[in-house]
Amino acid sequence: MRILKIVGWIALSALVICVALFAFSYYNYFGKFPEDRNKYSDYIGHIDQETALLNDVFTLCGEGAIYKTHHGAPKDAYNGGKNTFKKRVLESYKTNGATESGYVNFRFLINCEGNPGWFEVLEIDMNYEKTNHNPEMVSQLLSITSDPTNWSIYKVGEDPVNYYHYVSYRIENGKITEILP
Amino acid sequence: MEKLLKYCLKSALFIVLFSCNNSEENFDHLSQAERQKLSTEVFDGGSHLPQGSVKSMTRIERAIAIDPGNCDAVRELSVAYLKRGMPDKWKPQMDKTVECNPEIWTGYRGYNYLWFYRDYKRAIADFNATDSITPDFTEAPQGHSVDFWRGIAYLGLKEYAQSISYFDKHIAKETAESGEDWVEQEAFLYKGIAHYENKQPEKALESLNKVIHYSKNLTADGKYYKALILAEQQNCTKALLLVNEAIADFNNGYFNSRDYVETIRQIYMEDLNKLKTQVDTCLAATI
Repeated sequence: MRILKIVGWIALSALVICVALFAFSYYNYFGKFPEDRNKYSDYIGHIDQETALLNDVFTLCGEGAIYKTHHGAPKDAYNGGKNTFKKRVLESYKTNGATESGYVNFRFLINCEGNPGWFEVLEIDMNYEKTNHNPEMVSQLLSITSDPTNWSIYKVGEDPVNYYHYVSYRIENGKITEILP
Repeated sequence: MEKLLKYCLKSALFIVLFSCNNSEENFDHLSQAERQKLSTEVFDGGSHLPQGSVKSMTRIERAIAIDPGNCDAVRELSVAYLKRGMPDKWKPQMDKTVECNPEIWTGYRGYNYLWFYRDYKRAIADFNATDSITPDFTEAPQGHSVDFWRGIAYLGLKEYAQSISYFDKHIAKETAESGEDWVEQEAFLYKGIAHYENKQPEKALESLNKVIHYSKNLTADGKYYKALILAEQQNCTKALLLVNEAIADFNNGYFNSRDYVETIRQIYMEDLNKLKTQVDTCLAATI
């Protein structure tokens, strides 16, 4: 009985030490770093699903976890490859008298079924400052970019997941000269 | 019980004080050397945090608050915006970085203009600026000389003579210093592409043969462009062999690409298949 008691105390002590070590390591590695939530309400590139465009067409899968937030999914996102996407865009896009230059960037989410939504639009001039481009041009690009046929299902292991991606159109005199990334 | 309550209150007070906003910190009592040391410790100490996370951004801001001359930290604040497609936030922070240390970061900004924005003119302007900022040596942002980057930027502008002349300059320098086998294969590839697009197929073949040689015969891009030229010269038998090898190389991952953005003149399997069809047609016509 006494031996059992001693073994029990040793096991309990070992458990407490392990938990303490884990907590200490976690604190040192991550927990001790403060967060300035006044300046950074969320990670860079986070999309506010409440205010994003086309946020009610599809739903995010599972608990809504988002993958590929580091730099989007340039090698995985395009259904049929980037070349196919480029061709589709260039065939569909009509200049329609637009003359502006700059960038139109769409930052968005794609759900586990490959359906895009939750779009944030950035209209940028050639000096990299926010501007307002021709609304018809931006609307046309949004319509092309939000076509679900453009986007792939991205899997982690065997599981399809939600992910982040962005597309940047470089426009010169109303014409698309580059599609990035 | 009373003691326990007191202990809890003290702990809560400690936590509240500890979590106070860092912007209220004052470092005036520290010498410049101490501030530099502390700033580096804060910056490096959080380098494992996920890039662009709130914790990471907060720690970078703190490092800069301690020492505004910590240009690595100033630069790091821009990177998440660059990679996530937010140029309006990237640009002012990148400009601050260049102001902080033009010697180190002007060429790097040019590299960003080149790859992430395909803003060839601004890229070239920054690469050119490094010539006067560091006249005694050739800058090499991201591990490649500005001459190499200028060659690519001028190819983007389709100014082939300029592109080729910068590749020549880069290749000559690398060859003199370390030997031709130390030159990046991409220098020969892009020089070959510039010659090809400039309607100089024989010169293009010279460069492409070097790509094939130095890649140990594992290059979808080198073989694709060579096959393209041979097909145009109606040398369809050789072109077919090459395009088949290019497809195999591509499937094995031996093609030119970049991590965050499509590379300039990126080739795709569709390009290879299209060329194969053309070559097959050419062969059928000659039989």
